[in-house]
Amino acid sequence: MSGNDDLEAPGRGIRQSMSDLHTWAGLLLGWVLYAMFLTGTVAYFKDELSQWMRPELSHQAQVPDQAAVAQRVANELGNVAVGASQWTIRLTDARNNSVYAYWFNRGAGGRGFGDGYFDSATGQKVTSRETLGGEFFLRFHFQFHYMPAFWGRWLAGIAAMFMLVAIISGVITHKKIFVDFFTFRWGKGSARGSTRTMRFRCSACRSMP
Amino acid sequence: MNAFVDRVWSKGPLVSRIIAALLGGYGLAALSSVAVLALPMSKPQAVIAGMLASFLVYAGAVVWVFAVRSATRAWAGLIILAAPLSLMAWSVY
Repeated sequence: MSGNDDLEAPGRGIRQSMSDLHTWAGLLLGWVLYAMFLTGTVAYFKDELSQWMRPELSHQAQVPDQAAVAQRVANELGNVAVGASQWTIRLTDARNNSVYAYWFNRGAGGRGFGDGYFDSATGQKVTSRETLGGEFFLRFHFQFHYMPAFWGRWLAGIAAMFMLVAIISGVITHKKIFVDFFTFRWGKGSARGSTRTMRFRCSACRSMP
Repeated sequence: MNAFVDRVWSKGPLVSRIIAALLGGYGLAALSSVAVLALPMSKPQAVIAGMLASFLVYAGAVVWVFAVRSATRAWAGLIILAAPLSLMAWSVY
């Protein structure tokens, strides 16, 4: 925000306008985006985290027979999800040793959905602990967990829109961003120059999906 | 007190631009996503194309609003674009 603060002043360049827009769009919701990026990155390991957070499930040396697991869980679902018109089952695989299922029951209260985690060896519902496991990070990434999912998704959408604006205005501000990004300036230039280079790199890394 | 009033009054154009960016940009993006349906292409394709393009329209509108010389021009630009889009959107509504 250096230099010309008056938006309406004549001769105020587009670089200055875009720099201010970049600053404010980034500053206002950057902290929300930080939480989204962090949890989204961690969510890549959600299956491993889930295994770690459910130590009561037996270690899975090899992926069990999928058909047998499906039958065991289906038997249990017949008891747990009585009257449900729809079951959806995620079976075990190489990275994941618990079965996740959710079901829809029109007669049940609320929106009619229920869900649970199941032991692939016994088919029993895992009731020893209430944990989302690594799933927590995936859900937090786009609905923030501590607020209603509906408003969480709105907030995530608004934050994403701010980021798009910040990226576009940032590229206009630093029109040589691609050259600067690949310039290696070890020990060259002023202190300000090198921090600026670092900043370009950080912001460009951050904006990658 | 007068100085304070002047200070607040001088922020008017900035506030106007922020409103133009947040609400005007949203309106333009929403309008364009509906207006795409007037183009001679299949409806499902048009719905998807309009939805995808609306994000770029929104971002572009925000950049435009803060890039031009005055708040008045910012609003004028939005309205000039919105007029034909409204006609297109109206024809399919």
